Amino acid sequence: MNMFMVKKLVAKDWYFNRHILIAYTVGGLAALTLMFSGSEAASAIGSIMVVTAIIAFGCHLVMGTVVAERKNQTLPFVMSLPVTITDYTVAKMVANLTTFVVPWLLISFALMQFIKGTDSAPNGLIPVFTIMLVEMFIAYLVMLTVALISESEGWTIVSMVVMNTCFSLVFMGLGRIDGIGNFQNEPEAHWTPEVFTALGIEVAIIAALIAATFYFQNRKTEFL
Amino acid sequence: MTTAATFRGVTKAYKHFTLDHIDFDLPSGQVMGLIGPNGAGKSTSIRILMGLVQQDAGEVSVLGHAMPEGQVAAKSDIGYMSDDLRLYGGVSLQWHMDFIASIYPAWNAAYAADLLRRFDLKADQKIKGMSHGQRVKAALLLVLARMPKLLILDEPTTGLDPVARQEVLAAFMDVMQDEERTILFSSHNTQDVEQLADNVMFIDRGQVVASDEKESFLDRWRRIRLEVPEGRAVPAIEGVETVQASGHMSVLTTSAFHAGLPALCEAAGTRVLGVEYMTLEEIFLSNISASRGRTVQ
Repeated sequence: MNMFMVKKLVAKDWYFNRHILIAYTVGGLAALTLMFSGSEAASAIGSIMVVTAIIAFGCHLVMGTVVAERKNQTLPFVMSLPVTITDYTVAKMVANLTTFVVPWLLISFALMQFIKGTDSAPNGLIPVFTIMLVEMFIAYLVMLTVALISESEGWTIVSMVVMNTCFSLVFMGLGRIDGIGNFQNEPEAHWTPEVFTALGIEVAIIAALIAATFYFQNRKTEFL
Repeated sequence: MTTAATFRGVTKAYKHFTLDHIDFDLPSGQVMGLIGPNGAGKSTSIRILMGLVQQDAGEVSVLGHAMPEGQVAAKSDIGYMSDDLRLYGGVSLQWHMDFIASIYPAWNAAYAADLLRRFDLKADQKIKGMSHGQRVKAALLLVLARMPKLLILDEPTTGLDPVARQEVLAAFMDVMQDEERTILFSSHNTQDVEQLADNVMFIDRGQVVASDEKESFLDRWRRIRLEVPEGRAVPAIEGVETVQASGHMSVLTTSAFHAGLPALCEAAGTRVLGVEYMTLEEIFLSNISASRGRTVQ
């Protein structure tokens, strides 16, 4: 692998996405503040805004760094440089994941601190929210994987729709699992085996998605 | 003679198109023009050369590196530009120049500054604010100032106005002063190729139709106008590629002209009305026509 060029391509994408990174991080933190401002209406609006900020940031990143590169025909410029498909894929994965992880971690950390520090939300929500935050990371990774492998705007949009739908279904599903849903309203967080199983499945899905991306990218015999 | 690139039996099959056993050598320090109609296989050949498309069969070597495996090493010395290559619209040309300069140690800042002036480009202008001609020239500047050993240009003058086209061709001519540099450029504009190329390769329907030095093409090809009297036929001359007959008049093109050919026509009972040089475009069209005729037969 040409690490020199991978670093160059990662730095390029970081540079191009610096404004949206700041905007979504600020927006997400503002939504969190609203979420825990005390009022019930503000809490509902804030929680929707937090979820929206993370999902929209993921969509924005994938569309801007992968789909637009092909659509705007800047991909031939990148591929004329001394890079292979693998170098390109590694650079895209690293640039995207690191850019996404910064606000995602920041918002996740702030969310946990808010829950711990407020009486309006029980600490029993912490395991469920942790699973849901990782689910949002998976949703983002699915979009990124589909965008890289399919090179198609249409399939990427389909994956966005599917994963956004899955978000609500997963949240509702978790509420029905014994060992997860029944502790949501408890004053203390319960890290039950069911919670760890759910997190373990999520980690396995993340690993599988990353492996699938490289597997299918390396099988391509043409890249333009 | 050293070669900058070689194709040996290169094949790439798609559903509706096949690049069929392409063989050619690109001599170092030479300019090769790849001419063909749309969909002939020019861009596919060039993408295989760049390692961006993997051939189904055959061997490709570029600057001593087997492709696509050696594409990183090869592309370090290649300047590639195509008509479907775009720069990043949201940043300036200066950003692109800094980006490329940070990758290619041979980047020549003085040459880049000279090209900026000659192309009438502004380094701080964002790409999205540039005209098509300016964008092509900006991309060309980035390719030339990295001082590549091999320039691969896929339809570089497509869509340019005459002034921009002349500026771009003049820049190529400057590059050609450096005898170490090799250029492969594809075009369906034969005038560009005639102006620049040392060697010419005609490609059609995924096959190499003809390949030779440009001067050899121009020397060997002639259009001969004949009057064919009643009871006589167009003489069977070696190298005749196409024959067009209209009444007693016939026009034949030959790819093997020699000084004795008119006399042979006269000896066969026909009257030679004229022997004309052919432009590269006419040679190209005759080649394609003859090739397709042969295919049909």
